[in-house]
Amino acid sequence: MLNFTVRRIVLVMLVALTVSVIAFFLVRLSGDLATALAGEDANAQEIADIKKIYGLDRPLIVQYADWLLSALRGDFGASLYFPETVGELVAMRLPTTLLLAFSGLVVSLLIGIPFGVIAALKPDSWVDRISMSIAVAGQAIPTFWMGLMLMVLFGLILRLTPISGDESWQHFILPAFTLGYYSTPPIMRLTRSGMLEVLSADYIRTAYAKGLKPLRVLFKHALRNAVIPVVALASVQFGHMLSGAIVIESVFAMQGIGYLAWESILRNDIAVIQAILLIVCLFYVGLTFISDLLNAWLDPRIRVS
Amino acid sequence: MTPILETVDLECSFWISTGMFSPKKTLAAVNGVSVQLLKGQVLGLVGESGCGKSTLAKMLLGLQKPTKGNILFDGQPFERLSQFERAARVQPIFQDPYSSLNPRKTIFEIITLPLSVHKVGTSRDWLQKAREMMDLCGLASRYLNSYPSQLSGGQRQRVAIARALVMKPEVVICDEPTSALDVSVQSQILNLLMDLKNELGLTYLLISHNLAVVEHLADRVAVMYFGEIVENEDTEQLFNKPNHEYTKKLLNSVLVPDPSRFARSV
Amino acid sequence: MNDISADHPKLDPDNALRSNLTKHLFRRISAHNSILIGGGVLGAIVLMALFAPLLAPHDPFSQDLSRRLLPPFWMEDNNPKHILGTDNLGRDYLSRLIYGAQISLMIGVCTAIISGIIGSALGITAGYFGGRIDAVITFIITTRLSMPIVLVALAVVALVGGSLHAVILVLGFLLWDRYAVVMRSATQQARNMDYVSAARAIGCPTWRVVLSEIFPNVVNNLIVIATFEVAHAILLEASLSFLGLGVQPPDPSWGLMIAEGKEFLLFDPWVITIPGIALSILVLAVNMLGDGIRDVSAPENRN
Ligand SMILES: Nc1ncnc2c1ncn2[C@@H]1O[C@H](COP(=O)(O)OP(=O)(O)OP(=O)(O)O)[C@@H](O)[C@H]1O
Ligand SMILES: [Mg+2]
Repeated sequence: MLNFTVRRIVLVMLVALTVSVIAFFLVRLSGDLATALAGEDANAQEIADIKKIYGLDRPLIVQYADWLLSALRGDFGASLYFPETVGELVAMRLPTTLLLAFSGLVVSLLIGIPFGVIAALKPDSWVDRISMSIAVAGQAIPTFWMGLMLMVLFGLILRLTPISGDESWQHFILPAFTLGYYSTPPIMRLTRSGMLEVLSADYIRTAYAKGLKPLRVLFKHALRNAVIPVVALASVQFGHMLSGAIVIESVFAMQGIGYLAWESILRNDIAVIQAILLIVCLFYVGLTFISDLLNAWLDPRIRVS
Repeated sequence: MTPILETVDLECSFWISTGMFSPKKTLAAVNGVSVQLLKGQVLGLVGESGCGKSTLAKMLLGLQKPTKGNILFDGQPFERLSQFERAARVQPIFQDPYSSLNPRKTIFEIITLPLSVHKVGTSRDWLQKAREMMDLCGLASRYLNSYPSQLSGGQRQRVAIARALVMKPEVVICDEPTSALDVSVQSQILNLLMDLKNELGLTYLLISHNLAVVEHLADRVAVMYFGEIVENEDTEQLFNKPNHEYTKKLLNSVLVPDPSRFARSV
Repeated sequence: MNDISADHPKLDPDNALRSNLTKHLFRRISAHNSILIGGGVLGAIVLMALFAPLLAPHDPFSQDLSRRLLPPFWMEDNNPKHILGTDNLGRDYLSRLIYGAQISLMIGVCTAIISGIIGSALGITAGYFGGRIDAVITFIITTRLSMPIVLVALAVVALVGGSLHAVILVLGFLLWDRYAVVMRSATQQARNMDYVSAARAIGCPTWRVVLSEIFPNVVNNLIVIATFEVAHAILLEASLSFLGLGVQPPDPSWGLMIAEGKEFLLFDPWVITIPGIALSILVLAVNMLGDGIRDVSAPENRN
């Protein structure tokens, strides 16, 4: 396990480094930073001056190294539109996104796990079929449209929830549900298959044979063993939700980093885009790492290959 | 008589890594093997599972590079021949006819693949040739356009044999050619192999776990143990007067009464 | 060994057999149904897209500001000339919807083809050659998997400028991961089959081994993944267009139609309902088709 962990850490570092290269160059290729800084109508002299001041006349590799080293210290440079530094800006916006992603995850777990368990207890029953069908059908609905429809139904017609913004916890209900339902099917499926496997395992049958109460067996043994893969999956899904937040936040006008990224992409605010891309990617890498470790811990075969 | 195929101190070792920080180890699957295949003869190769028989076979087929040593074909170093030239002279018959035929291809395509790879003749000749080979191997030509899944195990093995022989190779490497087949079919296939050998003047390397088969068919037998050849004798000599301890053990293990044989004789 | 395991189901032969049969049958039937329904609906949409010029009652681009936001047929004050009403520029909604199918299908199919080629090339190469090559390609896959698609796609589309072609290319170069992962493991399996060794022993050049021995045996995975990636790409295009960084106005992308209808949400929610339903139906049909194909071609159902 230790060996596996060390190998994984090396891999994760390499991936993170590669991702940072991509984040840097992808965005830098997208526009001329000097022109952006100097303004559209700047003349050649001004642009050249700007290049000097910001060090944009140095080789790209040097600029990248400089950017990465500063980023590691939390210094992501300056935004073109906001008075705050990019670091401050991201720090300000990140909590909203994390909260949103977290509540989305909670929603998908709250729906996915119970239905997965029921489906596993009665495989091929109508509960199983219907919950699976709904889950599959749900995958076909675009998230942003789902968000808008919920907004119309609960916000405008029923007036149960706020329509947009992120001021109170009520504001998070619709976005969290929108974000969460999309991750429900994989969680439901994994819970179901995990439970099916565990329920047919010998120790569960022994527990039943010993006369333990069915529900107790279910919760104490079966669920616990089926749950670790679900946790592993959930950590990956959490990463997906961070990037899914970009769509949801713009639908519900929530001031998270997703919304910030969208705004910044639209107006080519390079430093901000780079920072968000890097941070979200690093979250991804970290969450996948956790999931890998969990899976490997559970299934020793993974460690060998 | 010079051997048609000969190995000299042949060695093949695999790197096996046991972990990132522990040093890599080598496993010598084949270790200093020198055997000779005489033209028109059958060399039996026996030994327990994992002793390196298939690895040796793969090297003879050019599917696995030796880490050391030489293979000589007609006295010529094997590596000087291209895979193309080798293929025309040495061909394999594998153990599992369920895995050795591409399930997506028709019998015709399978049998004529060597011809098309080597660009021998025209596609019209191929049909003729495929019929001929199927006939030779005891397959009805109505199976020409069948897929392997429509054939029985024995029939599949006949297809594999037809494919191996279509280029008229001199040496055929048979790696447990019957062990995946039903007992009732095994003897048919073995008989076919022997008939073809006499008819076409082939030379066989016959790898088998079945010592009775080897005793019957092989002219010489090599016994392999942990990657090395521990005994290499005329068949009669070996079965009557085994020299090496391992050979004795191997022979003894077969002499343990076999309940199925017993049942049949009753 | 074999005899023992073969004997097992015979412990309760009748029951086991029957429940197995029904289950098997049920799965078969539902798989076929989902192919029929999914394929049927998808076929209808494809026909609609192909014959859009014949089917569309109006020019999807012609504006008529005097007829803005006419309601669809199920509402009062509808105009029978515009069955699904008109948008905020007075363009016929049904016509835009019909032409929009072209965009979605084009994006879905082209993206799936591009990403399919990239992904299978990477996956088959990694699976066949193994070793260092596999390590490098696995690393590329891992890296790709640690980049959020929407964010990267947005950034790149912003870079090259939003358009149909840009979206197809960007998505095509992003959505290859599933192909690569599946093709890699399928190839690893196929590579170890003896027919591959046989072909190599024949002297078959590597490209030919890969193309004619390996590829036909892994290609059925490709079809299943392709259907899911078509759906995935259609949804992503809609998201990108919705965010203003995909297909650009005045093209009638369904995602863009939803974005344009967003400001009229309050009084005319049907403006976003209609294209959203169209999108969901299309994606559902593609997914059902894929599910069905997967179930039918699953190894347990083969032979
Ligand atoms: N590609 C490889 N990488 C690492 N080890 C290998 C490889 N191929 C074979 N080996 C090892 O080499 C040894 C010999 O294998 P080989 O297949 O030649 O045995 P065998 O005598 O044919 O066995 P069997 O009778 O079961 O077919 C085994 O220990 C095997 O694990
Ligand atoms: Mg072997």
